[in-house]
Amino acid sequence: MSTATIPFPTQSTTSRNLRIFLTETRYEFIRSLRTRAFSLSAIGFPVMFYCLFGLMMNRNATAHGQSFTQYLLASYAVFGVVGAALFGIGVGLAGDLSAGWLELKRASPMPPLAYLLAKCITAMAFGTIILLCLCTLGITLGHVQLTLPEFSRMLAFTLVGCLPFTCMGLALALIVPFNSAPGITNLLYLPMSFLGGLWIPISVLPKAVQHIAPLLPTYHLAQLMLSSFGYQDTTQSAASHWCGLAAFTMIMLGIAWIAFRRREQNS
Amino acid sequence: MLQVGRAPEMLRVREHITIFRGYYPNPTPYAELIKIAGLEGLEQRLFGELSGGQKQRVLFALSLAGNPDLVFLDEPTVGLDIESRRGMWAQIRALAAAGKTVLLTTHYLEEADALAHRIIVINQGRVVCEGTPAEVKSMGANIASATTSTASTGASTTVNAGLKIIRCITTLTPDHLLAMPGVVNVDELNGLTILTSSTPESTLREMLALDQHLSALEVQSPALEDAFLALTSNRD
Repeated sequence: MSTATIPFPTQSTTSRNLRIFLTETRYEFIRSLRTRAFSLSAIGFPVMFYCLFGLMMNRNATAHGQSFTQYLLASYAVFGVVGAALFGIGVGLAGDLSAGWLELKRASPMPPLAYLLAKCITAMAFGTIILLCLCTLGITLGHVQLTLPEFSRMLAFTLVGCLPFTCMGLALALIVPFNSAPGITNLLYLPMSFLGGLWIPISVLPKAVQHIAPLLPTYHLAQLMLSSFGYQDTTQSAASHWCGLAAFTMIMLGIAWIAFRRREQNS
Repeated sequence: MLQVGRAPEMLRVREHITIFRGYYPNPTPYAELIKIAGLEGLEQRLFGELSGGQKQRVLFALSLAGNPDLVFLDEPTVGLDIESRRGMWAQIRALAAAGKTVLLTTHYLEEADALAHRIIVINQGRVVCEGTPAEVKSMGANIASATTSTASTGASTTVNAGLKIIRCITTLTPDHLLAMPGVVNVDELNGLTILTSSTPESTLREMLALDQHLSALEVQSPALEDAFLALTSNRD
């Protein structure tokens, strides 16, 4: 589709791209909310698990001086944002790819980054909604003490933590065919969550699992999230968790890049 | 317009169009797009709720969102019912009338016949022929007659837009008919004589004069479909 129109001199490309990005984000969010299979499960699962394991079952339990209810507030916030990113970007993008929709978008002058960022911001928004739900439940029903700076740190980790898993979703979408995308995503997401200590505190898991955990990005993000209110694993520093997440992000971006190049060559 | 199966289902028609208009510096006015694509009354529907023809019309609207002067339509009427297809044709004609260049690919030959000013027939990646619908038809008819008739003369190698097919029941023999000027091919089928002539008017006058009992007369332009088959099967 080519147009022989001259761009408006009054409107710079940057401002137009920004406008496209905002529109794209807005409708990506609306679309995700309307897709109940996504929105209900993305928000519902972490909230339900937190109610079951954090509020009903382990109310007064502690492990190494850490209250389960508070620990699980952080870990289910991670579980939520990871799910929103993996399913929103991974499965969502795989769907757009298989429908040929992305091809049409790419034939238009839409900047590709606007599309990807819109999906990423949408996942962040879902992560934030999940965090708000969990905090409300924790404070009202679980007697969790949470100060505003602590909450702000949790929010910041939720937003930043979305990025590595956006990259993982991107890699998955480019490798896995759409009809098997939800299944394969779950196959990675659920074990990764359990072994990373998102469902039950890592300290009560078997020793073998505790050795595997530092290999998982979920573990590192959970440790950072826990540091929001001073729950820290004494054996590892915050810097090592950041490095773990950064390395994971780079690996996923690399895989996504290779997969993207292969797709381009094949088509 | 690509042969894309579906757009995201959970967005409304209005939202899809708004998004795509935003991509272009000088978009087609919203109301105009709705009108061109015949989407009045469907604007609030989710894409997933639309019928096949309605979906196709939304994709058509999206392809025009940037107010392009050159429009590529890749099989826009695939899977449409007759009514929607005719509607789409009217919209495509309106585009051409508005001075836009439309490049349309199609497998429906009647569609090319009805819409195109210029047809290019491509077989296995190679251009077989090009011209107006009438030219393409006569090229096809020429090739068909050149291969089926042993007595065809030089007439079959020249492009003649006036080539017509005459069907009738007549007592005149095929050899006699072939000898007439302008006649390039004669066939008999179930008692019906089918002849191709480059000068149909004079051929008819002569036939009517010679055979007083000539009946069941029919004169047709060669169908594009026949031309297509002739053109693609003979140049392999």
